[in-house]
Amino acid sequence: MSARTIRFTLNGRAVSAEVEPHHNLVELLQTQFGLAGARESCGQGLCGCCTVLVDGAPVSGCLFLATFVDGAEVATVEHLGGLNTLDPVQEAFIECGAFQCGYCTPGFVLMAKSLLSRHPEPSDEQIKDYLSGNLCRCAAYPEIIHAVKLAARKNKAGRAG
Amino acid sequence: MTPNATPFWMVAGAGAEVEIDTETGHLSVLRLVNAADVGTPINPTIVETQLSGAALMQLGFTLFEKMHIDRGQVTNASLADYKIPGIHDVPPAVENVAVDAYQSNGPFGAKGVGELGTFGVSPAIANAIEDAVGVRLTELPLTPEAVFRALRAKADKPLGDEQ
Repeated sequence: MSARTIRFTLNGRAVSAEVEPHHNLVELLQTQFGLAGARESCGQGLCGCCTVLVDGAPVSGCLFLATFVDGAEVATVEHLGGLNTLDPVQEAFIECGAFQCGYCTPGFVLMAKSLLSRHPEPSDEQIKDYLSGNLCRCAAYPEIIHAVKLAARKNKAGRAG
Repeated sequence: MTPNATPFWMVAGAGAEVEIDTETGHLSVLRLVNAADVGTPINPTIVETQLSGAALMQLGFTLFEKMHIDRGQVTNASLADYKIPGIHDVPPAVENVAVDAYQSNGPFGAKGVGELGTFGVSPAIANAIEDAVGVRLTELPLTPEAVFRALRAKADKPLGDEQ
């Protein structure tokens, strides 16, 4: 196995890393950049806990080989909001109590971001379709749907302001 | 036991409305109502989330979660083979009622809520099935196959692979 150097943009910053061919994106983020927001849970692309945005599209970080992000723009949940501010989606999740243990939350938040970027005012069906690949063992699904709708209203108010 | 513990009785109930396709045994839960005595809710939003989440987790145990064990080895130990509820499994109507009360030995009248929402879900759905199609299922999960087998047995036409 030979390591190779990849260069990509991570949360707005140009970075490089040495990766082995078998490393996946979650391993890369956790071991080389100390980013723990994308978590591996099932390791089979079934639960959505490891969701990462690559060139704006959500991928399962556990199945996405690290070398694939060479030249790409990678965004994790840590990129949302500012130093002392939260993203409207994060605010909405807190205000709606859209989690219990919070393990799955980064994945849901990134999928919700992805949904709202394509459908700023999503219907219930669109929300469920987008979030059907994310599992929440605490089953905070009704609250998550409320949170996505609240985030849509917050975004709309932000655009109007 | 630490003197700071608050022993208490957990009292909860649930009601369910179901729709059953008698040709396939397929079962849909249309409405799930959960009620629990939670003492005095300190954070009502979180109490409701606890009741709802517990009930939906129990909905998974009730309808489809089953560990297959072969000589001590779980053979469906992945989320592909052991399905847990996803967002499409949430019934169209889920209502949660925190019955306000006062727990005299609890902090600010509160008591634990934790898994209270799990208590009534399985029997409520089994009762709803019996009410709808007249078959009594006594083993979880209440799968379409179990419903269908029971319907056939009731009609005196049990499936060929049954005794």
